[in-house]
Amino acid sequence: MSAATETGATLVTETMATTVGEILITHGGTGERSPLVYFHSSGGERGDAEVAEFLQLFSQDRRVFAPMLPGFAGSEGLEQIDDMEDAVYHTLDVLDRLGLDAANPPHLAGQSLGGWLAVEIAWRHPERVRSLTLLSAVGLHVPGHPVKELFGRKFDELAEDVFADQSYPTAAAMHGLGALSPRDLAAVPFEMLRPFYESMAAAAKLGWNPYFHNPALPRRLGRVTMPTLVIVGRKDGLVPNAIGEEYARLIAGARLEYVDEGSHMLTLEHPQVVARLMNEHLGG
Amino acid sequence: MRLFSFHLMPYPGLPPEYDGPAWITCPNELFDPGLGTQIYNRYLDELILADELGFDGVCVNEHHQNAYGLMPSPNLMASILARQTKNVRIAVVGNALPLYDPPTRVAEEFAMIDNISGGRLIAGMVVGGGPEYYSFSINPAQARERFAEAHDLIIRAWTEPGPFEFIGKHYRIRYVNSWPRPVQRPHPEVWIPGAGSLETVEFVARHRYAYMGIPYFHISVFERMFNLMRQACENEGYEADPLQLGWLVPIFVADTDEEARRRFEEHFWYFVKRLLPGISISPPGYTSVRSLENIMKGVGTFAEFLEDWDEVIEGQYAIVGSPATVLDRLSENIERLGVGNLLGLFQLGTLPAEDTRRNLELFAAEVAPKLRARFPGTARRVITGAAEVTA
Repeated sequence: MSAATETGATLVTETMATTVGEILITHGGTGERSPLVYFHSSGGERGDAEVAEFLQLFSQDRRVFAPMLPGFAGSEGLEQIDDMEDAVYHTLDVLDRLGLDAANPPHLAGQSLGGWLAVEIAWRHPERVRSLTLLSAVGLHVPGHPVKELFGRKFDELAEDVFADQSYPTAAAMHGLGALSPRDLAAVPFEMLRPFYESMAAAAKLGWNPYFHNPALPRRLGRVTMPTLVIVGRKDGLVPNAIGEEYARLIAGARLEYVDEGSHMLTLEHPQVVARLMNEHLGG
Repeated sequence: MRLFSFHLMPYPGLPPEYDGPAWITCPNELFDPGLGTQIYNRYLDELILADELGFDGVCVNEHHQNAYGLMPSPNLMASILARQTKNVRIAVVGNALPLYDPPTRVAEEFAMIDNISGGRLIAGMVVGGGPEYYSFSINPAQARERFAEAHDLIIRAWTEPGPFEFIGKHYRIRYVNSWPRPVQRPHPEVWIPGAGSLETVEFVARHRYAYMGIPYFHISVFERMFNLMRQACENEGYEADPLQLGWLVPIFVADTDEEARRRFEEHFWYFVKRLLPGISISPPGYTSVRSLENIMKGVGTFAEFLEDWDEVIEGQYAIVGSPATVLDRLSENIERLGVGNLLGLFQLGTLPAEDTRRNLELFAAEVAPKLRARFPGTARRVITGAAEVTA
């Protein structure tokens, strides 16, 4: 499966063998600059769909990679992933196979769950991460600033929490589902809902309890020594800005940026704004 | 045919102005302890009455942090019933195994109840409802594997000489040596409730246990569920015994059809419109996607979404009427479903004590003897659990 884009940078989406099974990965781009790896959120945004535009903003001058974690978008191996620790070592396996090792460390960027994954890799193996970008990231518990419930929510209410513009296509589709009566919702073809259920089941393995955080993480963040950019959306209704602010406080030298009009799904709704902030940060 | 009286022990006092779910987030300030004292004792009396009226068994179940059923510990209820009843089987349907850590606690408490009752326990084991995974923060993605591992540990604790070491993925106990041991050898009959998840059906068939269909769906959903179970037994190389199948359904008997509806209907609506909302939340990973697809087929028929009494009657959501009507409706459905256990809910929602008593008495006197005559049952060929059962 491949998708030629109109911007000239061709991204390819295909399966890739890993230790836990075949996973789906979008990759492409060219250039001398260090490669960028993007980790998706619990929503399972895909490199050949929701974040294609975002990835193409980098693929002009560097290679980009967007692997889908086991359980997301048909990636295999979820039965071998029990927690974030397993996701970290699976992802290191993926990076090894892509040749993105300590001799060629990539920039890591992750949204929400993906940001948490990136930071868990970064403190374990700082030598393998050239820079870190945390977008609406979870992973820390800040007393008084709980992450709102993700699981079992009504589609329309969840859309209100994670999108700034309710007419954004994904948000609009969620409002459409939210408006259905229970009987009508039961009649929606299962294939339409399958990706959502699969993504949530995979996310639950990592984030059910402790709820999207690692209690030990604050004690580890001193090991995060690479340049770090933390981006939060001021309108995020799911993950409080306080969590991004706490990352910025605990990671030495981290830069904190706010997207005034942004909610939670920054790379979907504001790819240009995020890419501009990141390009400055990534440098070479 | 075995006849059971099942009690949910619902909370009848939700204020009219409260329109939220009865589960997970239903504020516990709405619980009135004075009313609690009254209804716990009243509900126990209703189960004891079933014993006196000659039912084969009584059933209690486990739910947490909700107004639908006030039995976070069904074992407490069962232990009272073990002392206060004489003949009935006491079916705890069941203990939600993943909520007990370590699950040897279930082996111990069930064995206590079996000892106190002189071997009358039916040991129900359940994955736990979706809401419980929110209320306990147990990872729903691990629900099935925790359940299977806990089940193996409990059966081994009952059947293998202790002490032995159990090293599983979720439970690690260096000295398993449960005291007391159950009276029934090698262990009590095991029932597993389910709502159509393929994993559960296959598990029950493989172990030759009994499958209790979780209610509140259109009768055609039960039919599909029990067909799945029969098919799963066939895949295991044997024919399902009717005693491996149980149908749970609200029943209300009065002198005439008109009187039955008049006395029962408002309490039924309290139950489906006030106590069911929230029960059907399915946390991520709790059900495999292949099962979810199967379950979704029935979701539109869930009782919470019923709109009028005609739908209730057409879908057999409750069996309501004169003794003759109730006998006919039950007989048709028992035949259609091929079940050997009837689990009646004789109290539902806000149904008051006098109506519940009269319902039980009329059923026992006018309906039960004829049902038994019509479905005499057969000696057991297949063993559920391991205890020998006849009906």
